[in-house]
Amino acid sequence: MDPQPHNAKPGFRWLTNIACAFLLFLCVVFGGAAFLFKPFQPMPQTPASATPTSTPKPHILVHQPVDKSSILYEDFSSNKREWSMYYPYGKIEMIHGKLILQTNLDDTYLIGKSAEFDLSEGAYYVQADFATDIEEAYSYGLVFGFNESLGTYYMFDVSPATGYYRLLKFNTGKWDELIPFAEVTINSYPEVNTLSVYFDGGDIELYINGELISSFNDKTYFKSGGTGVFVNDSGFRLIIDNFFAYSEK
Amino acid sequence: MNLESEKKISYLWEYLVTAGYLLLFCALTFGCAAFFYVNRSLYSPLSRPPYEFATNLPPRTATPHIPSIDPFKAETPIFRDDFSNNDHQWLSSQDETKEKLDSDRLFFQARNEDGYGLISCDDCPYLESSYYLEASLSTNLETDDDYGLAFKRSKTLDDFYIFIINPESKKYALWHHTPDDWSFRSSGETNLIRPYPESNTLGLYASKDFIELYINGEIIDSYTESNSSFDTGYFGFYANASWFGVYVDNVVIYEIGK
Repeated sequence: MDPQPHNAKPGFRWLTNIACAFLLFLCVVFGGAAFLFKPFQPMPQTPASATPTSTPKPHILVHQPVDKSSILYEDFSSNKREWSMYYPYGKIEMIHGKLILQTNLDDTYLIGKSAEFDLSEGAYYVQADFATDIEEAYSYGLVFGFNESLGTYYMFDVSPATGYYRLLKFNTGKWDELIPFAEVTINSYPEVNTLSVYFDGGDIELYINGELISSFNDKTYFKSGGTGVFVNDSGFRLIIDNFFAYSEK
Repeated sequence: MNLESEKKISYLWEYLVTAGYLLLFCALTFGCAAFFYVNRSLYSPLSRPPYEFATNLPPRTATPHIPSIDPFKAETPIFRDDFSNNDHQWLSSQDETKEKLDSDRLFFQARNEDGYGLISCDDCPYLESSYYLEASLSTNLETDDDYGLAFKRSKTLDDFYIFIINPESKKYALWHHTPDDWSFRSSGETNLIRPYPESNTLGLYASKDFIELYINGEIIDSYTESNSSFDTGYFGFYANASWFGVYVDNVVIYEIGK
């Protein structure tokens, strides 16, 4: 006798196979969800080839002049204003609408400036946005009261890594610490910090990100109105944008 | 007996299928976990700087765009002069500079005591696309002053850049000269600069808004200036004072990237 077909092959275990199919379904669902949603995909960065905005966002923070047309603005889209190094051992470049300043010597600062931002004597205002290319940056800031012939100037020195600032005065080879190191709330890397100085006949007001952080009266003040930026120490690149300045008559 | 053996065979088959499903489940779970982990470690937002640039920092990270070129063996240059004759008309009357051909070399010197010397030839091309310029320079006296290449010289001749070296201090510098003033753009120090009386081969790669500076076949710096065009203009040679003269030899220019 030939065996019956249903006796030759065992019956299919439906319960076991449904359980296995359910497990497979879970795999497909979780795997698909992980692939589609990608919760840790890269954050959009500031593009390397950032083109200068055609409508720059002016943000003069304080002491707006009556005649707004006298505000000088630099977007660093080109070097038509001849930004130049004041000291050697470094480099000043224009890249992607930013001014890039760096010194090659340790413990040395480098000033970058343009003669077109030499403001007239009296009251004036200067402002710029600062960032660095790495976190381990020492300090940077604004230069004002600059006289190229005499080599005299003020420095508004800010260190985001430590959260301190100070105001320095350089006069014929001698440093005066007008405001010693003081703690301040300042954006840390990689955020931008907007530094501003308002100067009026020796009255100096210092601003960080729109907040007045300190003021100082210099009785023997520099009358020259040269302005610029500086980077302190080597090993990082200072990135500057949106340089504003104006004089008040 | 027959029925018992049939049951064993059928259970084995089902066990294998079930084990296969479980293995597949474990593998996919592991794959998902690995995917999350790799994504998190690679793309942590704060691990990258906010701005990125192609080639900037001198000199430790500079990457040579132009490897060492043998000026007289490589491909055909667009300009070459070994100063065996004055075919390119270097010996024209230029107010600020006196010049002569001396032992198959060009010699020039500033004419005015407080001035600089700058020489170009009447038959030199006006460069209009990416190029590599190279020349060997030396001085007639031991000097602590600067000399080097001039480039991106305007048709009015009063606007130009200079790439200069100082063999005594072993410094190099990049300046821009406008009709009104000088603008200091970059500088540094390198032991590649040879002392007097040796000659130094200076090289310059220029492409749109970007240049690379070479000394004796090695890159020492790069420089970018947005919306500039370093690859256009006349070229020439520069001496920063009148009390010494500069010898120039083996001038060669290659057009790059065309």
